[in-house]
Amino acid sequence: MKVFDRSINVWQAGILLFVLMFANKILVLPSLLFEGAGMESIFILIFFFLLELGLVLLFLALKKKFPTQSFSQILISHFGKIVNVCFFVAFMIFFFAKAVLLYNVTYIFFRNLIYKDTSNLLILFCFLPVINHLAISGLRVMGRTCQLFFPVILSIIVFCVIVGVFGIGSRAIWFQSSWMDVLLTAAKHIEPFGDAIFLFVVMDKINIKNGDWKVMFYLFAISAVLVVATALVFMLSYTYTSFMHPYAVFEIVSFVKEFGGLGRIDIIAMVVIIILAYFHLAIYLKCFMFAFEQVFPKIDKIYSVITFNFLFVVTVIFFIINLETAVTFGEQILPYAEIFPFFILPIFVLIALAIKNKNVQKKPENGGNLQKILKNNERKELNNSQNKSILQNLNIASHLQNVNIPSHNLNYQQQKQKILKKQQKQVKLLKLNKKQKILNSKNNILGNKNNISNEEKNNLKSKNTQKSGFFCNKFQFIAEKEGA
Amino acid sequence: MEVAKKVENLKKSLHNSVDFADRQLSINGVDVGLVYLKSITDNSIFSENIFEPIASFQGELTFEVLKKLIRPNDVSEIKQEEIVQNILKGAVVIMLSNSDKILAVDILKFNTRPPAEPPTSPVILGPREGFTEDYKTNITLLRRRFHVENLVLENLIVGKETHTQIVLAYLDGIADKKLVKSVKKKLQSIEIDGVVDSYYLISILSSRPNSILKQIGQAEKPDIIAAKMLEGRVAIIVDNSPIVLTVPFVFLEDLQNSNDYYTNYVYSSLLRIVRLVALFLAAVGPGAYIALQLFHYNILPFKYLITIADATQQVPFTPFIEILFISLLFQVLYEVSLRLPSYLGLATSVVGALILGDTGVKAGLISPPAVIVVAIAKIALYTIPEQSSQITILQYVFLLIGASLGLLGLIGGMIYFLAYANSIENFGAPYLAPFSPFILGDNKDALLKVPLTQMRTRPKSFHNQNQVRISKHEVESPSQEQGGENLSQESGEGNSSQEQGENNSEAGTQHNPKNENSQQNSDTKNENSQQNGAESENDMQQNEQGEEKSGLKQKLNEEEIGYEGV
Repeated sequence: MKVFDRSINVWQAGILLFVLMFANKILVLPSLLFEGAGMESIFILIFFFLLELGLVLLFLALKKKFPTQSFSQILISHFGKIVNVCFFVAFMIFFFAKAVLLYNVTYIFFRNLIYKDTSNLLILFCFLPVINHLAISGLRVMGRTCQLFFPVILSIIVFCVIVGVFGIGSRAIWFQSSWMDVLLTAAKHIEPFGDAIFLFVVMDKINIKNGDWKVMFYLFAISAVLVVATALVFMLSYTYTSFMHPYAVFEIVSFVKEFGGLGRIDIIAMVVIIILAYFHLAIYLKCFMFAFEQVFPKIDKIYSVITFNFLFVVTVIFFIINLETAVTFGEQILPYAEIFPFFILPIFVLIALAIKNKNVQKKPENGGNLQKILKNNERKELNNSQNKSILQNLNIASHLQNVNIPSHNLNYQQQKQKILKKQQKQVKLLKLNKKQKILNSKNNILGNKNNISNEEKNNLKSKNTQKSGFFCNKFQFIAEKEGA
Repeated sequence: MEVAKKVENLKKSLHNSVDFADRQLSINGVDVGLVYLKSITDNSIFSENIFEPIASFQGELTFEVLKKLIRPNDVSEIKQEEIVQNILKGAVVIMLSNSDKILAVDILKFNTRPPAEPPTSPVILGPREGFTEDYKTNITLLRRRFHVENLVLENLIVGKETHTQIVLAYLDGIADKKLVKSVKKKLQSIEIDGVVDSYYLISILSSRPNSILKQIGQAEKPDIIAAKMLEGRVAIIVDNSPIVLTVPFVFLEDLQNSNDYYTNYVYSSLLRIVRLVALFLAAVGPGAYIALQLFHYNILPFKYLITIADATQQVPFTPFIEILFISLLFQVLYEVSLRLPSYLGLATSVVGALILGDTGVKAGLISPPAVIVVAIAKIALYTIPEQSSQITILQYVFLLIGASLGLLGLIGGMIYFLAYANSIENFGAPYLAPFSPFILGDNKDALLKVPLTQMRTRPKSFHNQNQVRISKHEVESPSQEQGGENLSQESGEGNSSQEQGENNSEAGTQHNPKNENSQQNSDTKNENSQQNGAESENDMQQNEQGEEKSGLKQKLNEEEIGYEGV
């Protein structure tokens, strides 16, 4: 099975971001926040959205500086391969944990409201084929499908908020919670946030041109406003009893159930939650796939899907059996995972932004070939007969360095020093010879190999000319010194 | 070789076919042999214009003289190895004993039906012509709509045994050259024994032949094909088929109807919304009903719940079996009414609808809500007849999903299906464009339709050479100066080319609304003065710039569309 990943435009990326801003945040979060911080929980939402906005802005700044590079390439060029692997392992864990948390929340929602008498595995069976198909079809297909559902999602949420306004019956009572309560609640329920880091994972797949970033910003702003509005309408509708009603967007519509004489209209809120849950999980899986690809570059992409599915099924079944553990996982362990998107990642991104452009590692398709050819040539050069004698001397010298010579034997020490000096000179000569020959071979390769891109050729040529000039001067300098 | 022997050999090579005919004459010592097939030639033309002049000729009959004797114009000199092919194509082959040269006179004639309104796409207002099985007639119908040299008709022959004529029709300067090339390449690569109908080519041209989704456009009316060609599509006319194919195809094409272009644009928009809703109801309606009844009865409003519970309590079957039974019954009735003569078909419908349905409900075997749901779904299915086969399959798929997985599965199924549709790109056109990817410019004639004067560009869902359909000032000036429709009558021949452009544009709007700018491209080329030509080019550039500025969305989405799907 092939996994296709073609680029998406800024609209599609923005819509994916838009979708990620909902789900949990309009479902259980307002109720949980109200329980801890009362009406002041609105400020928590606003604060977290500002943090999330910071992530989006960081992404846009990074994208502006490195328009064609992936996050992995940036990490490797600035911090090395190990940091890159660590980061993508963290991404894998983060998105997997988020997926499990989201599934748990939506699972409880579905079980309580629409799947009362059915098997636990039925919900899992509904989700897996669809999210797998979306992820395997590629980011572009996912983006397009999400784009198709975007008007539906937007209109339903706006409709729910507007309808919910009619259900507001009493005034809100503000500033009853202490700031400590607010802070503690914020720390406890931070886990639905930080999804904007998906942008970093798919960074090289997003085409952003000058001025287009506004689209992403607007879509983010709309989603943030809608989440805050939903929470506000919910809290104003239920006031003190808000904590008793766990599903915000659903509850604000059911509050005005006789709207238009249609009877219950909370079905549409249910529909939007289902759509959001599907896309949300699919995006998490896709991000997991991208991260997996970076951690295990040699393994086929499809194994990332298999790994995710296996781990997901096992974890989810475990949590279904042990719901208390799931709650502990969600409320006590997962908040610590938010250190990654809100603290570690921004620091590294800021460092990458602060450091001047470095030579980014070339893509393995072209660059890899070139490097291999050059290395082979280096080895060949070393086998030349002229260099063999120098190598022999070097071996002797290195051997002498390791031999302990008695201090009284001056002649022997002088001889040793002479040999060592000679060895140093020979090393210099050997290095220079080697570099010169490598440069020649590089030029030959550049002339002959058609598979190397023109851009790369030009870069290497310019580097060669600079280096060859430098080496010529150095040669001259050493020759003069030798002569002296 | 003697003429008689040649004729005998030809008869043998055609396996002594019953419709083989030959006439042999001797005129002043020169033997003449005429060979043809009676079944596909015009006998009166043969006797009056070919046989009679030769038989009555008195003089030395040479090949050059023979050429002059034949009255029809379609006369050609052929080689020895081309004789059989020409006879099979309806030509009379004439051989002389004093010459090695062979003459072929095309007098092909067979009975064809006249261009009539096709049963698949009737219109209330608008042209009622339809394509026929004769490809020459079909070409004529297209030629009547394009009086320009830019109409290209390329001939291809496909089918080892049938040698079917296939004509590739497109507008040079509008259709993308890469598209034409790739279509031609695909058609030329076919190694099939025969092409009996245009449908045979569909799976060959489709990027995903195994898909249930329709990927190639089909139309039976020349005005529809002309409109599609003006958008930059390539039409494929197949001999012996009244259905002309078009590529690239997007789903939106079936949502549009030829009636939409002959009625008010607001009404057309309303109808398109109705069609989309009907399509949704047809595909998902029965599945959703089952899901609600089986899994989510608790989310149904109380009033409806009581009504449904009251109606279904005596039904012995499960809701799924009940709906499946009614759906299959409807399908059987549909098949019967389709194949039976119309008078019997009507009787079957009455028996099916009234007796079976009504009696079934009264007997308590099926419930009224189930009958209503299936009836709505089946009626809604035919609001877009072109998609009925695909939607019928989807209806059963969603019925199964709804019965087994409920609402969650149903929505999941919809997302799955739409993602699958989104992954299809045929000849570079995304299947669900301009909805996803969203292309603002193309949405002027999508779910909502704007007035034709505002549709200034061709679709951007796929590549075409010339994006401009109507220049900006050509649209604005009629309302400013002349006041609309009378302009075409008022502007005379001696007017400036700009006015001619307006004239053409408006005239196009009157005759065939979707073809309102059929002359745009050719007009630009045929400008009398260079100055006017330059103005026209400037207009195009300005228009393109205007389009670029018109919206961020459009620009972005254009970039996404590539030619990777070809």
